[in-house]
Amino acid sequence: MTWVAWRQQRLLTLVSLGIVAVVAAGMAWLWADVASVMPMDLAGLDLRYDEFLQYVPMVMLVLPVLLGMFAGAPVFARELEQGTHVFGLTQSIGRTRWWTTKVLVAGVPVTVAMTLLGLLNAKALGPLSTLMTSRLQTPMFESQGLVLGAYTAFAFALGATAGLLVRSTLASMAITIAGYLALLVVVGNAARPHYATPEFAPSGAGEPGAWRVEIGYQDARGNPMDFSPGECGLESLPVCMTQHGVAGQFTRFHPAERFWDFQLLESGIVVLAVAALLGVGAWAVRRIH
Amino acid sequence: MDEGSAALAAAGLGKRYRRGWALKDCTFTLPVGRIAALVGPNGAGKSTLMSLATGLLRATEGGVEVLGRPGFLAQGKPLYQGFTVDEMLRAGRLLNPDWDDEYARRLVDEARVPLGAKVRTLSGGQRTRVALAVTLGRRPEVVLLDEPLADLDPLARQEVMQALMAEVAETGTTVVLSSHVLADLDGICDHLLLLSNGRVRLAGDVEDLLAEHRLVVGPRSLDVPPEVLVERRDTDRQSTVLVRGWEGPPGVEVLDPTLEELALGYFRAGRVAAERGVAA
Repeated sequence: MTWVAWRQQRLLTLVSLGIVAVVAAGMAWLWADVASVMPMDLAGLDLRYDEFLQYVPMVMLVLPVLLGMFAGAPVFARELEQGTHVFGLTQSIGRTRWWTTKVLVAGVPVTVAMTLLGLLNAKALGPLSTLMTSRLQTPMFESQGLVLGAYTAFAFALGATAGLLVRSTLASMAITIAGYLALLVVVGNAARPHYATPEFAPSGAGEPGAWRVEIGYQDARGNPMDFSPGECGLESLPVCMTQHGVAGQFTRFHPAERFWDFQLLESGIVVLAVAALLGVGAWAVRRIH
Repeated sequence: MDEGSAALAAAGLGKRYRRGWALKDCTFTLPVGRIAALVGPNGAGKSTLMSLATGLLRATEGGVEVLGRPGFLAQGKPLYQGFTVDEMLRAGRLLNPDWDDEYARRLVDEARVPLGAKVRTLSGGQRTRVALAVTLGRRPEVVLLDEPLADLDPLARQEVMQALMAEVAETGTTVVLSSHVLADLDGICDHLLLLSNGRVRLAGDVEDLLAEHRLVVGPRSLDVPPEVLVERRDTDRQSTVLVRGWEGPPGVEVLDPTLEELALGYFRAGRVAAERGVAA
């Protein structure tokens, strides 16, 4: 069955790996180039890499969902559309083995490739992290590290399972985009800030590279208070703040060192979602005909 | 394989989809070594019955038993489009431990299909021959073929049927062949399984069934006992009645029905019964 599954998926897998390889070549060039110009001051680095770095998160956010759509969605949907699943399911091998082999043969190469790309990205982007938004924050967090592979596995599993349920390649591609975006938004905004208790700093500025999750005003005793600069009208801001009893700002933030802990934790969450999707797929494959 | 044992046996078999029963109260036995025609109008439940027999579908009620693991050629002959013929045979070998590679290759060879050709480039006839080779390559004791002749021209139909018959004559394989074109099956099949509106209307040996039935042509006033009546068609001047186990009164014309006439009579009777069922 492994050969059959590989032969069916060969073209899509090779094209997918080719795309990942091209992107990886670009990131390897970045890694080597940064190493060759270091040490350099921030302004110099910014000038040299600003344009390149604008494209990095764009590509890295799109790549997992692209692979999920083109390598994941057709795995079962195309067979169901063409009726060839009937051939696979009426041979001497069982349904579960048919499903497992197809999922592994199609899913493992892209997931492994993207995990490797994520680790490469973490190496290449590391020295440049001060140029960009915090690497704990969307989109830089998803652009590197272990989560790149985890999100790819998620998009793949979503595409494959949706294909079994809706029996249409196009519809499962659409479901893959919608589900991936939803997960990205929900995890990045609702879950990630709570992976650890944020550090507190009695100032408006955080450490370099830190992710500021809350900025607020505090009174003279250091208690957070409600204050909006909009209340001040035409008065000068410092006078108005003193009148309202505002002594200064405070920040809650996640320091940059938490990057790998957060990566592990988020990968774990996404892997659980992958397991749930595959569970639905394993159930659905027993019902198709 | 002793004569008289069942290749396919259904008991109270039923399958319900969301839209309703596709098959209900199916009970029949198909003896080993037969070539059975599974006939019925579109939507009669032929494909559903085959899917149940191959284990592709699970029965809602009752059950169906098949001798060994059946070979199945589904409607539309699903083969991997991007595979070459050679790769298709390889897939058959890898997916079936009891695969007879020499035999499968011989079948493809006899059809003069080039091994290196991509499946999607094959003609309808070639495609069917490859699909047959992949289905028979497992040496199944029972083969279920769902509309295998549907998209073929008359010449290809004849060639495919000849190839199939030669194989089953040699191996004693039991064949169930579905079609809605009765002419394709006349003279080939020795067993009939007639479905209409999800029910088995007729099942048995073709010769026996033909011998039991008569077409009686008489005046409109012709009185037919209800227990022998299958189907009656009245025109202004005369009635044509399909009956089972009745020779008609003296003075009427009594004909032996062809397989097609017999089947069409049952199809029409089934449709009338179904319409009456809906109306009531």
